[in-house]
Amino acid sequence: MATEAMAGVPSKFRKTGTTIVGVLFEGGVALCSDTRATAGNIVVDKNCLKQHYIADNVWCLGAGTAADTEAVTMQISHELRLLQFETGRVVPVTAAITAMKRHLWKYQGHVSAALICGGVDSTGAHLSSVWPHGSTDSLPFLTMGSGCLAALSVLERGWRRGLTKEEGVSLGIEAVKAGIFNDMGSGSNVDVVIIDGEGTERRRNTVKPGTESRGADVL
Amino acid sequence: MIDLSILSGPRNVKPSQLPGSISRGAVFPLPGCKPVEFLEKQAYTSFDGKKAAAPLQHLHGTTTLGFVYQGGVLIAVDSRSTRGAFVGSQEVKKIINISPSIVGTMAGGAADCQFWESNLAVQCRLMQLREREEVSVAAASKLLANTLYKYRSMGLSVGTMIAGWDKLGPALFYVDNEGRRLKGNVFSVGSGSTYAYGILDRGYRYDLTKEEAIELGRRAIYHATHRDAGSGGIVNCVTIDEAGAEWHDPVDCYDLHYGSPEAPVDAGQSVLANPAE
Amino acid sequence: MGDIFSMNGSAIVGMAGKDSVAIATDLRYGNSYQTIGTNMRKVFRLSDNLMVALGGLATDIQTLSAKLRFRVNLYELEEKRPMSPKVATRMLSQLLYKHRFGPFFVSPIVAGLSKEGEPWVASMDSIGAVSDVDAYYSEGTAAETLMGACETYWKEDMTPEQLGGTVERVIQAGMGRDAFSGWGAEVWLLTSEGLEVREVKTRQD
Repeated sequence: MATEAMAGVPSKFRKTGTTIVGVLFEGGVALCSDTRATAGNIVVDKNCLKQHYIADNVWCLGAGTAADTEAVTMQISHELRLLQFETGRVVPVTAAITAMKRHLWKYQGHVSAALICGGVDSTGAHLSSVWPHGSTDSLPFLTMGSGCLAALSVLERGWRRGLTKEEGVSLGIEAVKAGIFNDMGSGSNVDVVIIDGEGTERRRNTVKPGTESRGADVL
Repeated sequence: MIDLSILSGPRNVKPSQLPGSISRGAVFPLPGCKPVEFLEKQAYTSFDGKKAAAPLQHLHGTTTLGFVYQGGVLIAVDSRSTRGAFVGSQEVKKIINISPSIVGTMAGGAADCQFWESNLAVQCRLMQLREREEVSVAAASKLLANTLYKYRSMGLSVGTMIAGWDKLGPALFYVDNEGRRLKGNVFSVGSGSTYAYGILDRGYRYDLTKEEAIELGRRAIYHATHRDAGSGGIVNCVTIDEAGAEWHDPVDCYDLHYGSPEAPVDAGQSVLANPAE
Repeated sequence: MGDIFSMNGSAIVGMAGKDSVAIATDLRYGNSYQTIGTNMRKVFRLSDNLMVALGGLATDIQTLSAKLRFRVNLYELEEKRPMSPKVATRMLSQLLYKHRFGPFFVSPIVAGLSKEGEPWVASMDSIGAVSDVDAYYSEGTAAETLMGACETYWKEDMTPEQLGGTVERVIQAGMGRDAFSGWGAEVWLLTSEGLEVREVKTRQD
């Protein structure tokens, strides 16, 4: 059953060697990601989309095996739509997180999806990470993927209570840029999705760090 | 400065007067470990701890053949160099000159074959100067076998044929990294050797004319390149008789298959230079 | 080599041009270093405007192509309309992910023209992670070298004639550096006029 037993197979799957970041700000949450997809040492997609729709008020970022992040988020999205029909109200973010952790726990880590889930509901803004084995963390700022160390250093330095929306977004972008520059598995552009009381705003390729001149100001 | 006084007389030279490393064959300081295990651990492991492809360019896919016929001895080889699935080159020179009337073939590790056969050429030249006589094919192959035997089970990869003409006539020897040395009339070495043997055994006779021999050698290599993914490129062919080694036009396998020989590839244009030349 | 994906060897490339798509594949069927056959088709026409090329393990290529053909035919009988390339891509992705923990060892490329005549090219891994943003994709044992050739030869808005010539050059160049693919190739060029299949003369070693 375990795929690890099949030599050479896991590395052939497409992975999102990734930097994904979530930042809570005053009244909302910003989710930022890079756009590189890899298979082994090959970049198979230079501008892939790592944002996944869960519900109108809940979005998710995925790291790990691409097919798994896609499949898990799609399934949970469908589950939540059914829940919404049953209850007739906006789904709580925690319902999405619980559904994800139950699914991932059931597969004992073999479904290798690492997710950052964020959203706004009647109880306010929420941000959680969901790990491949099914554990979760709820924190004001989060990062996952191979570029998480670089990103975390930026978040630790820059995050404070009471960030405005634009401050939160630009902190998230800076954290992803740190991942793009310092981690080989992450690269290309930055995508952002912002959820607050007003609604959801998506910014595709909001920054293209590779194309900016860098270091000129240092010299 | 190399002491050239050895050239003045054949017998009055003490081994100590010879330039050290070449007189005994090359000698390497060995690391304080088992070389094979060391290479397994260091060179074959990539930075993330996974098993990596060999960092050296290997020639593991190859077809080479040689046979003795009434007019002398013939050698034919392909020219592909592979590293795993990757085709590194389609125009490698796999026949190495040992002396004016002896050649060696390459199969196995490219670097191992090139180095040790060039080293053999040096040993043969020194022996010829010492003995004032052309080195025999038997002696040359034995020198190589002895050298390889010293490095037995140290991870060398060499599968070679030493072929040539000496005072006893044509001769062909198979020598490999295990220290094996076999005399014979027909040999084929490399991943495509089984296919080549198929054609060779069907068509081989001792009383082949030179033209028939060349045709058979090329045909056997061509059929091997067709079936074996590790062999391909161009067919190089050399015959050796009393007059010495004669290099024949290299022929592209493409032309051998489609039957329209266009401008033959220049043998001298090989990417792997021959140090013995 | 030891890898199950490269046991039989394959080279496939899909590319989009102006109002046209093309797929080129090699024809080798091998067992590691041994070449068994030189006429193995790896591209399948599933509908008038839809082709799927499969690289990887030969047995899975055959099984999966049969499953796909069955599903596309059933869809078209039920829906009374041709399956769009986008739907075919998603369907294949679902089919592959269904076998997440015991996958088919294939790397597919889907190419076709939509009802509006828009070209579509997508590739995915063996468990159905789709990638559809680029104009060209390559898979198989020669994937890396084919991708390199695509990067240099591809131009925007190629005519069908240019596209056919380009994929032919790409497959020639890409296969030339891969020991496990080659031994003949074919180009499938799909335009609003229909499908044109052309055999490519290649090296046989």
